[in-house]
Amino acid sequence: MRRLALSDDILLKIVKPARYIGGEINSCMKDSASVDIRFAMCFPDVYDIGMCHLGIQILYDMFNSWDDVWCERVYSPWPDLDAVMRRDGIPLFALESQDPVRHFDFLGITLQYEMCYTNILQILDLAGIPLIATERSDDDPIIIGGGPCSYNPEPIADFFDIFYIGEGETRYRELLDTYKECKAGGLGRLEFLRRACRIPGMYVPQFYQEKYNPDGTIRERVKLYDEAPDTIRKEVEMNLSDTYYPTKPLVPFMQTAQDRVTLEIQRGCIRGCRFCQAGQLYRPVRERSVEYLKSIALEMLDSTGLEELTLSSLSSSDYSGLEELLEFLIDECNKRHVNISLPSLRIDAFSLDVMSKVQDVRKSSLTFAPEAGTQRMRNIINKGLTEEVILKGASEAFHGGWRRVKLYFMLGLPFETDEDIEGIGELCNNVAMTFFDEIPKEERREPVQIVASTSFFIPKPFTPLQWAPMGTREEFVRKAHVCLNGIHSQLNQKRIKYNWHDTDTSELEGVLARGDRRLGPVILEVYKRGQIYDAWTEYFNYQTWLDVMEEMGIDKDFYTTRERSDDEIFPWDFLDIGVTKRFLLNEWHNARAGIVTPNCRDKCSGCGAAVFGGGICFMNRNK
Amino acid sequence: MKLRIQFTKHGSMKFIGHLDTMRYFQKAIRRSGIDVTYTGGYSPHQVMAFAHPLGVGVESESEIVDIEVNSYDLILRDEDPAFTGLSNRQRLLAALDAQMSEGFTIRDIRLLPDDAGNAMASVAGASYEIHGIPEEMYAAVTGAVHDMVEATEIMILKKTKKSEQMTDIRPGMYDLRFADGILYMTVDASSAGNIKPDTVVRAICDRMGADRDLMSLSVTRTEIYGRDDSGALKPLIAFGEDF
Repeated sequence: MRRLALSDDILLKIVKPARYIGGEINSCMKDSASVDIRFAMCFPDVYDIGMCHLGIQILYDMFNSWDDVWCERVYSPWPDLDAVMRRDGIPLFALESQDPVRHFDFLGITLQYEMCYTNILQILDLAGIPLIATERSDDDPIIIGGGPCSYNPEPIADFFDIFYIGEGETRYRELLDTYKECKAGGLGRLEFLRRACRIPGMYVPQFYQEKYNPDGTIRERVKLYDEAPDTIRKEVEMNLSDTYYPTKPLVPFMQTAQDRVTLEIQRGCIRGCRFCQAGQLYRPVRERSVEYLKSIALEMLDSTGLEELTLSSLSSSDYSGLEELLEFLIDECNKRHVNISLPSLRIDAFSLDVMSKVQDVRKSSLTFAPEAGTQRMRNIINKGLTEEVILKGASEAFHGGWRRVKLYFMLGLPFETDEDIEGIGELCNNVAMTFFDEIPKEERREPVQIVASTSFFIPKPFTPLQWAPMGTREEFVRKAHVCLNGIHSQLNQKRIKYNWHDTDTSELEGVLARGDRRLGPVILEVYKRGQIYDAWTEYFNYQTWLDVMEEMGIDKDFYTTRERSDDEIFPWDFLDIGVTKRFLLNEWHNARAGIVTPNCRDKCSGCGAAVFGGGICFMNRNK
Repeated sequence: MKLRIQFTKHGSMKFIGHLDTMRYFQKAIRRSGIDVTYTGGYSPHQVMAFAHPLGVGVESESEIVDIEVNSYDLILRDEDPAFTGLSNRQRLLAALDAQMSEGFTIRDIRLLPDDAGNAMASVAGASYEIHGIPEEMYAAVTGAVHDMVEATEIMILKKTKKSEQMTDIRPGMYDLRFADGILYMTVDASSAGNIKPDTVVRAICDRMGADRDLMSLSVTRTEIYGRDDSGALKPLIAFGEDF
């Protein structure tokens, strides 16, 4: 039997002890003496959330397929256990071996959202690892970050030894081999980092410095180590049908956020919505082959026994083999009594037909993401969804028996007017009107329900809207009320429910998303004042952040509400995602002019992602 | 056909709660290929019933779950060559046991007669062993156990979410012994009169003037019983037969 790091007494006093015991089905046990590298892979949030993350599962599977590496998992201890660990001096441990993370060779931390930044410091602190990278010794693990937020790593640059920019499948082997050489040669931490930064995709922040203009913008980046590259290009796995995929995914004991088999069908998105970071970061679109997906889907169902399967991609309807794949999956899942969930499908006759086969129409709801209330605004953000298409989809859905419709919008988009916001209510009303116009009275026993949700637009790095000002909290609250009043003034207002997202969280996310290195000390100080779990409303305390920023002379508006000039140097400009800044700037100008850009399948717009030599950029287009 | 499965739950698996254990078994049964019966509808679930929830922190030698199967076949997978020549019972046992994580083992699988009652309703009693009593307390525990066995009535305050009520646990305390530092008990586990092992431990502590919360004891359920035709306690697994 494995020995647990926590005593029975502790485990029986905290909530959900199953978070900390490991031993799950398909978790990987190895003999620590027989491996050269021990890698702790961390999702800096609670187990229930982190366990569902596909990226970590892919890397876990890849690392453990190598005989010389043992990869284990680490999640943030919930505040109840956090307090006990600090009180009793229990070091943070990895789930599989239950050994302290401090003795590992690497600690990899995935950066999925900005609001987890204080949790990174919690992880390092509980592990007993110095928080600042340059204060670490040869005995400390190498701290490596990856994931979406590593595309602007500057606010957390102080805390990381390396950021791996791009997809993990490609360069980890090289990085670990370099590490082994350095370890065997007794070369030490600094020499390893010097060699690591010459591997494509590896960014070692301590080899660079930001210099600022008097107005606070960046003047230049200075290299502190001559051999460090000027720019770092993201890594991409170009053959997604012959690579690592966790065919034996971990099966948690406890219920997690998403207890299901995840089938990632493609990466990237052809759409090019101008607010969407993922749509730019993961270019070019690369599909996995239908044959490959069929085979891994069955393997995963058989190896986990999970009762649900979901497709994962940014826009599943754009996957070219969708019909064939779904036909196969519906058949196989039926045999196994497994449910299929189909997120991110465009609502049309085909998707409605598929959905009616896999879910109870009366109980399920349909989701549209118009993102904005008027066509003018949708053109600005390049959201190629028209009211006509939405109403046609809604009409077909109502005829098919659906009664619940969810609509997602954003408030605070650039060049937005109150009319655009009021358009949200009008669009919702028109969806309701479609129901009353088209569905005869005798079939209306169950009334139509429309739920409109708005989130606040947060400009993100590497998007055409990275130059745009973000709204203030006060503006957001006002806009939410404009939206609410717009809905209330509609004929069918009783059929429309309205939800909006928290404004404080949005504002802080806006600060961190486009932040620079001057925010590092802010994050550190906020953490030192006891703040963790900012992504959880019950633990988020915006006042602490405001206080610290004020005391440190940091103006949050500099990061949020300021409109950037076309030639401003951004903190993330040294990263190369393939898509060029020139293309993004052109798109920003198109946004201002309301000019729509076609999707990658219809016409190439020369974004720059063709540099990777594959994917949609080299596929036959429709015209 | 209804099968009764007997399994153990040890080590760190004692931290897996009852609902999670149920979900764990649903997945294990899917992985094993056992041809379990599903309910209809859009979210089908396996026809499955656990006899008695086991508290978090308690280990067990004998947990019971009943499932309904359509056949003795292992479906949707290539059969393990190691299963050739095994009886139906041995094959299903091996197939399910192969899916267990460390801490869970399948002890037995038996076929229930058609008229067998459902697992939960037929539970009458359960036996427990309690380890970890400090040696200096042995004499006091021996005395307290003797007192409790001799008593005609043991009133304790039973707290539920809604109310507090004085209850006599003596009638449901079928056996209580203390030997070689281990406390053994067999108590009522029926839905009407269930007695938690910790309730008995607390009653003993009260008699000794000891603080239960300062002791770290380990509790193991050793058997779970129904009643046979004569009314005597009979292990639930013994209601089934070989197949």
